[in-house]
Amino acid sequence: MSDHETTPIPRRGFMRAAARAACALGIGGGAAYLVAPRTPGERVWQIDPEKCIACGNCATYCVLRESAVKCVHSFAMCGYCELCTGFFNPSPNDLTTAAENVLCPTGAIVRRFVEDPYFEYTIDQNLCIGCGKCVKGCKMFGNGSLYLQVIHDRCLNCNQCSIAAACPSEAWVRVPAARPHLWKKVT
Amino acid sequence: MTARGAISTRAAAGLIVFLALVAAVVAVALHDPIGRRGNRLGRDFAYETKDLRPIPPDLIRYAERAAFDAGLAVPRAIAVDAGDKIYVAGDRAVVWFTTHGAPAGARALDGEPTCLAVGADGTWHVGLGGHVEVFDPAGARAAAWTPHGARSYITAIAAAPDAIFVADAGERLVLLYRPDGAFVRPIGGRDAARAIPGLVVPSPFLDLAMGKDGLLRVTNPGRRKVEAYSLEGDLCFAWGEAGAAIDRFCGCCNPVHLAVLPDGALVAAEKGLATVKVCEPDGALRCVVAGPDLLGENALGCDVAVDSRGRIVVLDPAAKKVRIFEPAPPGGSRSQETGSAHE
Ligand code: SF4
Ligand code: SF4
Ligand code: SF4
Repeated sequence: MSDHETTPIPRRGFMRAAARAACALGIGGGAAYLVAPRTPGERVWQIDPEKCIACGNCATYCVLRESAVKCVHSFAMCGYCELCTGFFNPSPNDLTTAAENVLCPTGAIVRRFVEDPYFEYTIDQNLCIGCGKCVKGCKMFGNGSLYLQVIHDRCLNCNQCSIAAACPSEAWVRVPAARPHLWKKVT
Repeated sequence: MTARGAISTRAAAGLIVFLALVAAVVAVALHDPIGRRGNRLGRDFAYETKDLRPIPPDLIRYAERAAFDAGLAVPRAIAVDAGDKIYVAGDRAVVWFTTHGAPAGARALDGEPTCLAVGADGTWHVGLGGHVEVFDPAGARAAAWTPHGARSYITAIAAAPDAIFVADAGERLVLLYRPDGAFVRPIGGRDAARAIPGLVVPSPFLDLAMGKDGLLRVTNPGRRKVEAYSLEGDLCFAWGEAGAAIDRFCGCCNPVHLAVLPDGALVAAEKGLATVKVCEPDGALRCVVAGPDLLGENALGCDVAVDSRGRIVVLDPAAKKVRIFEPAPPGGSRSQETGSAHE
């Protein structure tokens, strides 16, 4: 089925949904922060998205069986492209969600029609393994709105992070636990 | 214990020690704390673009004849004037070079330039984020136009004798002005009654160029098309297909820059798999100027301009260089003669 045949979300509804998602993200993030034991002045690991080259090591070098690194999406930077190069293979047969067209090996990216010709992309973090494949596609052709971050309700905050040791681009940094993310900004 | 029993116990102990040693050697060999052996993910997880855009050598009919450093940390836009002087905007300045690439002057700006055009009379129009500033041929500021809309972000300007066309990527419109700055009309906005689908601009790249046939060519990057408009704003025709093949536009938003050759053919630049190619006015691919093997894989996009002799002047923002291409026998875009342009 073509994605155009899915129920369209009217612009206002879309904005409401986006606001709800932002609130949920905020509440979720806040809850995660409260759950994790933090001491004043504590520092945690994070990825500098400007340095990350999406090499794939984040998916396999974490001490956890399922990496603490996941893809996140900056809606403010996204072009809501019909042909998202983070979602579709570099040369898709068709712009549908058929498996041969999509890029994410775990099916973690959800595509929803907004209004012609715009689509919204969200990451299902339960499915994402932090491989960075979508990050590469988005960075190379698009706006770089998909990028990797350490998810702090999963990360054990190891003294020596084993991904940081294996990172070829020295993208891993210590940040204050009070501000644990390095969000990309619209420039 | 019999002598035989003692020997077999020693043999078993030796075997255990040997196996432990082998296990230790294997563990040390496999231990890869610094990621030397890569991510060990399968092929499904690799993002492969190496063979995505093969360019047949006989399609490459330009050679790079000169290249010089733009001298800017972040060069953003390029233009060529009627006397073939080359202007580059970036780092809150406009710098210019002789046609051979020798530095010839510089002028500071009050903001970060996003695009630039030099008209036949030598007047410069510079896009500075949301608005346009006008400079006389000597570089003195003559006017600053008010932004068209709250989201205005100017990414290209084309100057005709009695009209100035401004590409506003933020408002997803082309703005037609008179040279004195009076706004005439928007072009390219979605209009079902006139069968205009509307410009789709996912990233800050919207370009335009005046065709030799009197029609304005405008990129519609989100639809992977080039559209031709009359000065009244009618959409006359459009061409372009999405795809990685060299006669198509690749990725989410391409082409990103346009220029017009003296014979009316269009020079189109793509980002991602950075490519510059020449298309007939109706869109048929004529040839390739340079591909990703020279211009690289990047999301920056090379601005392009054309001089009076038909040389294609390319601003390579990744290398921070100006590259000058001339027609050449089929074969390759990097010429043996490439060197510093003004030596
Ligand atoms: S491609 Fe990789 S990083 Fe991107 S969403 Fe899928 S699993 Fe996550
Ligand atoms: S600090 Fe530990 S748990 Fe967190 S990402 Fe690094 S290896 Fe994984
Ligand atoms: S190891 Fe470093 S470069 Fe590789 S994906 Fe992780 S942060 Fe990015």
